[in-house]
Amino acid sequence: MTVSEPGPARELVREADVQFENLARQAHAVRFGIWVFLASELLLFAGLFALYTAYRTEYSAGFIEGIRHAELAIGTINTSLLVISSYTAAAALRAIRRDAPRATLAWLGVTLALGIVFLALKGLEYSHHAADGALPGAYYAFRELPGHGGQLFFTLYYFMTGLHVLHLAAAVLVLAWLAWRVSRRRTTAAYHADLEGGVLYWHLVDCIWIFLYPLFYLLA
Amino acid sequence: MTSYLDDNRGLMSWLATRDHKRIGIMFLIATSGALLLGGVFALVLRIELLDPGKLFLSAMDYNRMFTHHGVVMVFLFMVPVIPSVFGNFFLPIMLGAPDLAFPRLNLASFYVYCAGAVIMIAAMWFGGIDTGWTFYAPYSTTSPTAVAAGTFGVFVVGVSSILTGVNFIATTHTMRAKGMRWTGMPLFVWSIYATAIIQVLATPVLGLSVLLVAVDHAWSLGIFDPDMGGDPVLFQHLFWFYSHPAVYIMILPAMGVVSEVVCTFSRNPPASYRAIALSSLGIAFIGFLTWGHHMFVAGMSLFDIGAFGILSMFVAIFSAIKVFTWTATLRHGAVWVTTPMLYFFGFMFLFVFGGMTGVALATSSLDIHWHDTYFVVAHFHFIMVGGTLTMYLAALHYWFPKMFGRMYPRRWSIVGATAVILGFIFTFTPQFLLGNAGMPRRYWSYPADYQWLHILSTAGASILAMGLALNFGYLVWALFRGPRAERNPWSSRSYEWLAPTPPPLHNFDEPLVIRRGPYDYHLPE
Amino acid sequence: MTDRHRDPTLGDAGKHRLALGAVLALQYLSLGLHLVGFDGYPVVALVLAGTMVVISASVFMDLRWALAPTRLVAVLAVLYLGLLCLGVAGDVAFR
Repeated sequence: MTVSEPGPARELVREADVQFENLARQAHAVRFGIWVFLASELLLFAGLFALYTAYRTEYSAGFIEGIRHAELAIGTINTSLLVISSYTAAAALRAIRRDAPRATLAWLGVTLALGIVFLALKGLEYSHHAADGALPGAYYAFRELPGHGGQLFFTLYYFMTGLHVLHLAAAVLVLAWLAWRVSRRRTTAAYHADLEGGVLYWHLVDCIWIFLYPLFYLLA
Repeated sequence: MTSYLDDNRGLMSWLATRDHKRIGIMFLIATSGALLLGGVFALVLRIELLDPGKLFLSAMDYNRMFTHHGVVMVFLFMVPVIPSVFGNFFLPIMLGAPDLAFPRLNLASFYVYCAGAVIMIAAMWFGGIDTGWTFYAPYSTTSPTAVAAGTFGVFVVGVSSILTGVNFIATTHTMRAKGMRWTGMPLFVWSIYATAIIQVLATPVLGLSVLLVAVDHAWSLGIFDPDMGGDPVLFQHLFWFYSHPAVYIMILPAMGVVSEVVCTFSRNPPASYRAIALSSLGIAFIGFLTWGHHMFVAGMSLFDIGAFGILSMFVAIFSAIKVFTWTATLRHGAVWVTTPMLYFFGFMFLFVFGGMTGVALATSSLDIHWHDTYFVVAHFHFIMVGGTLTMYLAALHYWFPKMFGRMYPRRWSIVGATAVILGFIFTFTPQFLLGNAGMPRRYWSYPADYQWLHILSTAGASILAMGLALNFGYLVWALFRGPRAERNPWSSRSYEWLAPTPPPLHNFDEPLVIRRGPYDYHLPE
Repeated sequence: MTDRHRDPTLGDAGKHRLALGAVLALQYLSLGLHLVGFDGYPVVALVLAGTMVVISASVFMDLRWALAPTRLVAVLAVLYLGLLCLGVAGDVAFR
């Protein structure tokens, strides 16, 4: 992507919104507000972790067997992809803070690519499971692991990773929009609280996956 | 300076506003509609219950009525009303700020609420929901009614609640006026802040639980279905993890109103500012530790029954601290009995009584007798209606002049308050007796022995309804014809009264400088 | 007056690379231990995951340099997630 360097005539001079004294205070408020929002997003997954805890206690054999049928290679690669994408997202923030929009866009591009590859691999994984009949709920027909334990394991697997996929997809859209803003010089070194927010959200999506990985691929 | 009401007229200027005051008014209109709708459902129920057998509703339709009543009242009225109306209007003003931290998010929160409400009401209209507002699995996932749509509507309204909470927390942390420390904020702010913490942390869990029910109902997810190995009690854990703190979402803002009203109308600072502020936080955090007391007879482990029983006793301590502090605040005060004060007196009696029945219910051995009876129904209505609704009405009367620049007719307001409080007492006191005598809740028919108590309750409900209608009538009249109000008709020291009446677009003519505390009645105004 | 605000530090690129290395190392350590397999591995795996999240949050999410209220928000969210799991476990485990 080629973007020309900003000149004084092109860069939008940003003023703080009327309710804030200055841009620094506004950025601080946005940053804090995003953290509060992230807390609510984490609590959205809380109930699912609780369900996993309960059903694993009740059906430990079925869950362990289910994990043995997980696609460990895809899960491992996906985990590394997201971890690396967290690094690249943080690098994008470092770049905007030292007023290097082209570097910012490059790092954002890599982050987005890693996220999209994750989603593609996840789709592949779902299709493998579906082909085996390992589907959620009443549609479960996985002959290698009959019984309630396997059924509940895969139901939780689809719901938890599915909810995560939705969040990752949203994060991809948000970062893409933020990349557009950077390219249009609406998000700059002077004010980039929006990019900070988007990147924080990306990190949360990564952190949630860091726990989903052992839960569905390793805990056996 | 032009008031916020006159600044930019026309419907679009309201619908696209970023002004927290206008958004508060829009929430007032929406929640008033919800109160009316929920109230109609309640009256239908109470009329059907006049007779032990069928009067005009089938059993299934009866189930729909109490579900709709609960769902509308809890999610569309009780949870949002005081925060989204008075919190929106007064939080920035009390902090000396020109608006909330995120005005556009605030407007979004309103529209998300409307979207959720439309979805819920559509579900109620097309098919209805008959599961009770608690949506217990496995019936909720197999009911032939519009559960998926209804629960999805609840999910959407929950998003609105979370966005509001985020906004209020960020605003309180980052937008206090110069010189205002945490210990110098009006107590109403503390209560709204504590409420916002609960909204942010608890609502997502409700969101997940109703989402699971919706997906299960629509696509047989089976996660709570015993036939698929699921455990229905787990739904209750997820549901009540939110819904118990939710009752604190419903009562904390009302308690904030109490603090403001009590200080203003006794011309006294709070007997202990710290006690009220910190007990608000105490309720917010400890309230999360008690949800299992809704599940004593659900099949939960004895360990959890014991743990939740003990923890539930602790949370009552904070409410007690508040009640004693408010009472002590009246001491040596120059008490001025206005309509808000009348509601306060009603609150004290009803909230304390209802609260004590809550402690009784939290005793698991007693709950075995009372669970799922009218005793529980009476208990929570004493708190919700006797507590929150009375202080909601108090807030309306207290802040009406500031919000609209007009005064309401005093005599009518006293009649209204009397009708509401007396009507309430006659509606719900018989229900304690009904429940203790064994009358189950959510039952459409009952043995003839219980009829006289039901008739009494319905009679009370009619009086309550008339009181509320009266309130609505004279307040709307006062909006257009009431005498103009002065800037500070109650001579309150709290900061919102420093703003013009009604406030201009950004609340203050000049930036607010804090020269004294919000309860410094020893200083001249 | 408001909470004191502080602009986030530029963040040493070196520290970020170190953190990335640490998190990836922990991931593959966990994978390796899983493949070896031993009693009590699940607890180890969860502890390793927790460590990965702490590193990620404190370095990539700037929590290391954040103000107290921000850190409190993060801690509370995790604590309440744990609370829900605890309450549910206390039910299912002791029935």
